[in-house]
Amino acid sequence: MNKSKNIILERLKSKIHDTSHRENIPLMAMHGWTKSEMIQMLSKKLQLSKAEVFSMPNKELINWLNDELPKRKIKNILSGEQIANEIAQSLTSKTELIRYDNSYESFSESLFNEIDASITKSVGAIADSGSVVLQPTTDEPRLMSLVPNTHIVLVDEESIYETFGQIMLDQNWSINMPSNTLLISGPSKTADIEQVLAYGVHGPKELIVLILTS
Amino acid sequence: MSQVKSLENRVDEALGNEQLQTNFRSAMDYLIEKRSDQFPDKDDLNNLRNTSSSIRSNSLSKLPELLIMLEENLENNNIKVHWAETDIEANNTIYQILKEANAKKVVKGKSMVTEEIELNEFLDSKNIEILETDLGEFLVQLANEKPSHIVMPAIHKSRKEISKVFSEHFPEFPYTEDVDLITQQARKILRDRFREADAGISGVNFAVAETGSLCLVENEGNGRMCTTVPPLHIAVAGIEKVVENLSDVPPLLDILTKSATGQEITTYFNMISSPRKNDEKDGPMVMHVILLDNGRSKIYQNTEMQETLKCIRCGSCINHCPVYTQLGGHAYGTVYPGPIGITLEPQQKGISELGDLTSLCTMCGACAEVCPVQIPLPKLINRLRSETVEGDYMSQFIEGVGSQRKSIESIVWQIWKHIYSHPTLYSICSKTITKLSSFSPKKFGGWSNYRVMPKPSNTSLKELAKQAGFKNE
Repeated sequence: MNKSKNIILERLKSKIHDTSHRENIPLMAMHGWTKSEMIQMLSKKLQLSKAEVFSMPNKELINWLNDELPKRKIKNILSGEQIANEIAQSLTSKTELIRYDNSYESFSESLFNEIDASITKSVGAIADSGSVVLQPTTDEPRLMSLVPNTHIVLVDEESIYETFGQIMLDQNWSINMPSNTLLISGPSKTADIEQVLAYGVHGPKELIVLILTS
Repeated sequence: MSQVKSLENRVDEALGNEQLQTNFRSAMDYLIEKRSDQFPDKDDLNNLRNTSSSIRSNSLSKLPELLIMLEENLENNNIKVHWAETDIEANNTIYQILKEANAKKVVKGKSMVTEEIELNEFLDSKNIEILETDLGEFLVQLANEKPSHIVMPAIHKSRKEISKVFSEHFPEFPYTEDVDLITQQARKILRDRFREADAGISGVNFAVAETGSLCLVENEGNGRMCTTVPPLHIAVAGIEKVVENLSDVPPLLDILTKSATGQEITTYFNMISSPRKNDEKDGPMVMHVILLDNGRSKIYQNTEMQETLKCIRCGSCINHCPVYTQLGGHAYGTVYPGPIGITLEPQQKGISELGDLTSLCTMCGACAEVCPVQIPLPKLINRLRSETVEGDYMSQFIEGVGSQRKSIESIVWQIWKHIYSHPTLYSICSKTITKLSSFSPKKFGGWSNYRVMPKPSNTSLKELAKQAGFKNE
């Protein structure tokens, strides 16, 4: 195996290349948006990608869940420990709270076949592309945002950035990249048949973004 | 010679299929318009193209160093790295990994590089079931065909054809031509397959050396399924996919999705930097990356052609190519069609086999105008064209340089050159031709099959100019 590595690297190195040469990369311009403009832009872009967006004070979250989940016929919702601690007490009996307690292997059957929705946090959002940014954790594993039909994601209004470049710089990703980082910009979709847009092909059919204000 | 003939046959067939041409024309118009909507401001577009082009040039300028850095950081992240010089070596490595894991069922996310190494055919021959999971690729695989576009693989198939293939394979579902229903049926079928799979295979859009991260761009979520659900994930990346810093990624992602499908951003941008850690509950237990050369290091050595490796596979050159629009993807007979295909493939597989592909270009320049990383495609195609008939130093890098030279063609051009560089001879010839113009042939080889044979005028341009009073004609 190392033989191929050597052959490839030798060939590449035999080309005289100047490693100190670096073309000047112009910095991407900033828009200079205010917080409310960013919320507006984020919502507009997400809605264009068929995500639903609601903005509400933090304390209204539980009322929204108690109102909306039964309306949407969501009988159970998957949540991590942290969110569960905040909402378990006040969630009405109409919605069952489910936890991703074990490893995927022992949870696969219910994850794929029994769970209606999931609710996760985010590490932020990007206004100019209309994306929410997730970095799955032990508490909120990777598949929570992929398998259930409905994915609800919470975005703190303070963590909305103008651009993708800004969020990675501000949060120092290059020093500490987690196992998985995701930009999610709508429900799963395809245009593979005659360029006709169809939603919910492999991932969630609905993406609901809740922007929480203080 | 057989290749020449078969390319001509494929072109003939494509040109005779009006339905196919209508499908491609409308699909390309749609993609061109969607892209154009994403770039309302020409200055912004130019800035973004400059930035993206610089990032790719910088990555290539220190490619060997970046590959070593990438390997080190991937290994630090518990991702095993393999180097493969050829397609055969890549396939064998993948097979060994699967065999050691006792993997029998594999799901795959859309990846052109695995098409390039013909991984599906190879694993089939080893009795390992490999299933395409991108909806378009899945439909193409069901029909036992090949993708006809690098971004929209099933673009050549009509809804009716797709419905027919689908119902033949899955008679348990009622026949439908409703796109939403077909999509939901595929969702049901493929979700079971993701869960049953022993391994997932994917390509890579960008590999970040600084952090040891693999980036994947997609809309459907099948890529995330393939790289998260099965216990084993194998990613295959061409060695040119590496970028130095994480900060290189945002501009490239931005211009990639806008150029490819005219989307502001795709639904998912997935950055994977580690298999499942001890305290994590999901994700693959084991991850491998294959760094594939397959001709790339030779292209790298060739100063004039190196820019081929800047490509980020958006397909924009294909969408804007008038030849591709007329022919569709299959007539090329290669994995990568369109301008990037006719530039890359002859360099990889050699001019003896694929040199004639370089004739599938009108030199209109549209591809260079839209390329997000400013690859001068017409220039590269023109260079390759001349290499097909005239061997010089490039024979160190490309097989078959000069192999398409035909002696009769060569003699004709020698005579032409001689006449044009001798004014007296030129004058005699042009006078003779104008006098004998009524005897000019009606047919002239293949050229006049599709065109009206022009007739020499009775008076030469030189004489006309003289009559009109020009002194220095």
